[in-house]
Amino acid sequence: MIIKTILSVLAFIVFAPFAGAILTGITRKISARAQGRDGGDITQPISDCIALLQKGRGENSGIQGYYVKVSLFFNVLAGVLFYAGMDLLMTIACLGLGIIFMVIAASVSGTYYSRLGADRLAREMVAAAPMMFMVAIGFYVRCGSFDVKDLAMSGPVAFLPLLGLFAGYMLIPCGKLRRSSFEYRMPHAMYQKDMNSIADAFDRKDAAICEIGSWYEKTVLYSITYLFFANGTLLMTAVGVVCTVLTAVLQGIIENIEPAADGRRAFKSAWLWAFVIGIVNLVIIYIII
Amino acid sequence: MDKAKSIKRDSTFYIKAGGGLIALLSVAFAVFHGIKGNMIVLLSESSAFWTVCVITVAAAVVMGFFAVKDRNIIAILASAIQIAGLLWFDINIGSGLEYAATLDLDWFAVIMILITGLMGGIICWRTGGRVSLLISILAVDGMVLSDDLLWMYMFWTIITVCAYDIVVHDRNQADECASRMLLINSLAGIGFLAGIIISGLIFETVCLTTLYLIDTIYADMISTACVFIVLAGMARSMQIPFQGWLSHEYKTSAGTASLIQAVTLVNSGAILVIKMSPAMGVSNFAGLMAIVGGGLTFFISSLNAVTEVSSRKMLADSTSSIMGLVIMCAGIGTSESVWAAVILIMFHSIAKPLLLTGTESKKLRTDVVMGVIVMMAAPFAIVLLQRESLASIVDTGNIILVMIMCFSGAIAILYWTRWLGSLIDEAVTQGIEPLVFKEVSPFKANAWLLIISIIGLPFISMYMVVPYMEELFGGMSAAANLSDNILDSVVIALAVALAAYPVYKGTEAKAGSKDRGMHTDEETSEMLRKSKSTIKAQVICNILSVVIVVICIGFTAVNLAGLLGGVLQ
Repeated sequence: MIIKTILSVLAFIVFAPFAGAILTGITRKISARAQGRDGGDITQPISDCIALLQKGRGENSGIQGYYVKVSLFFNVLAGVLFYAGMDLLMTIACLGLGIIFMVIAASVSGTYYSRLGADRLAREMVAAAPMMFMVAIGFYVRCGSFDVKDLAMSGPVAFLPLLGLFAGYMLIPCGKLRRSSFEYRMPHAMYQKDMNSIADAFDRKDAAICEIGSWYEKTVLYSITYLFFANGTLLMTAVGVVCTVLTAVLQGIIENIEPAADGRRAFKSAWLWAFVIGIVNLVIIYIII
Repeated sequence: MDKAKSIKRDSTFYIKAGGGLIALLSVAFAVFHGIKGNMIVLLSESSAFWTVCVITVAAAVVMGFFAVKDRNIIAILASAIQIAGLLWFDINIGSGLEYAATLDLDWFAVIMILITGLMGGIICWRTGGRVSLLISILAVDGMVLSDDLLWMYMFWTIITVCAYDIVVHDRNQADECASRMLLINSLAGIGFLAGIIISGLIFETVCLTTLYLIDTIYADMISTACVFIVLAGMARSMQIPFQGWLSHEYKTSAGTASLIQAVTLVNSGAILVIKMSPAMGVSNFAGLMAIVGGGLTFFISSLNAVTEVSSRKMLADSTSSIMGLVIMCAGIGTSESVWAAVILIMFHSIAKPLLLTGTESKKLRTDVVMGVIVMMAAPFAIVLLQRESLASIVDTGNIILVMIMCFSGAIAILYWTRWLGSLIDEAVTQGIEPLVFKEVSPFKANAWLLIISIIGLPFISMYMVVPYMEELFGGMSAAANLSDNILDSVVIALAVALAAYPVYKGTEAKAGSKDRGMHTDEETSEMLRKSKSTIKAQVICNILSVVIVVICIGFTAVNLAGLLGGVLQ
């Protein structure tokens, strides 16, 4: 059991960035197709990142680089806690800490766009936080535990009773990962980095680390999606993996339905949906159980 | 002139020495308790009873005197009502009651006395100040120890009087704050007294242990008395609809503010509610009022804190929001939720004075470095600890509460993140020298206290809070899960250490970044401030809180009429 835990944690640390990168590649490809372009290869993000790392340090290095690394550390820690089967809320808290340190990194870097991006990143986190909490609560009510170990191995399949929360969870990280509306996260291509992003004041290497951190984050987020289907049997594991990939595809499509929404509206609608969906779904599962 | 100066210096010295003595005594008390275990002291002599009565009346008279000086008619009336009511009760009913215990030396008392003593000592050390500082710290200790509502009421009134005295003599002359504080607290005193009179009349006891016992036999009967006492505690802890005095609180100096917000006044309200928690729950009116009032305050004060520009106002708002969380947890009245309440109040008491002092110093000096490091601990500690309270709230099955918790948790994270970002930004811009270990300052002592409490969280929980929960609620508490607590403590410590490392190492002032000073990071708060939804939310929450108080008091009054009819027949 311990060996299995250690192996899955190690597997996460090694493979998560690739999984995140490939999922990013897939969504990018879908948006490209939706806009009538061919789009790059699905491994394009990885080669971008490697190219960026090879370019070496620029003149921009400073204290922000340190905080970018701390942010990466907490994203990895979130995944480690998740794959070690520990507390789901703690995983979410660590993801939050990852974002908090990214906000700090951007706000100490001292340029206008970075600080603007930091503020918007913080707002995006706050927009998504209620839904994240509610998903954890939904799992807790359904399966009686916050521990990922119990949720993934022995708990009943949570997908149907938590359908509303699943939809909300799928939509809100979608707004969270959406590039076009908030325009503060990493832009699609690295050469755009000095145009409009939180990484405005980051050096090239830091930007690459920031990107790797976001892949880890993405993998953890999709792992939580997988949790909706898991109950420990082989069949549901397969179903879960397929459905998680389908979710990523669906998110890519939704991203293109409404490409531009201003921050205020996105914030309001995120909260409104979290409120409505949360109340309805929680009432239903309290009644069922 | 010289003589006056030397006298002043002497008095400051004595206050500091007194503060040190209190800190030492509180540690000694903890050690004594560790050796001897829980104890109950019974002072059943009528001389003790009448002494308490005389002291309480004297304190209420002083309160009335302050009210006259303040030309505050409602406060004068409130003091008069309290004096008359107390005398009537003591002469007619109180003297005939039987007492089970006067002082209760349990683990809760140890925790709160340690916090109050050490933090009070540190604040005395830093500010010197007036004798009322020492008296109010001792009064909080007394209130935590007492098991007798009349004794608690005595210390309660003394705390009010001392707090008024401290705020009035604060160097910033925060007059309006003082008069509002006096008004709210004198009204709260009436609530407390009403609770005492009701429990004396109907249950024929004013001992908390006996009241808990009655509560386990006749479920929820106690809430008729409890609802008034909880109302008093909520008014004192700046819960809506009573947070009026909060809006002027920021005018006081940092020392006074930390004493009032983190050690004496506000804490004593929360302590009162926590002490009543076995008699509360989701099914009775006292619990309902505490849960809804606390939850709404948590939400609305977090919202206010985000929209606030001045950091002092933000800190006052954050105090009231965290107290809302504490009172909500106490109101739920299960062992996990009360566990969370105790831990929250501990972290808040230790962290808030550091944050407040951080706002006072214009420039970051070497000895502030330690403080800046640990200031970051507070946000993380508070954010991560909400997990425990979340679980206990979900267990109640109250969906509205779950919603309040999720949304206000999100806002709380936002304002702590903002604060953290601007702090580190400031530290990086101005440059900080590396830490000097040899220097001794109250600030550093406070910082070390916070570090110890973060690292020692599993042990504090295991050996201090959980025994109290078991004694109060019986059985093994789920909060006793040691591995969870260790995980908490490790993640908090990691976050603090990693965030603080560059500040600790020391930085050079950064030159040439011309964009500094552009407060673009205000965009989100600007958006929330101008949004009509924010104002609507404030209005709705205020109305809701008033409605819930009226409903709870109304139903209790109806119950009470029935019960009193029975008593009188």
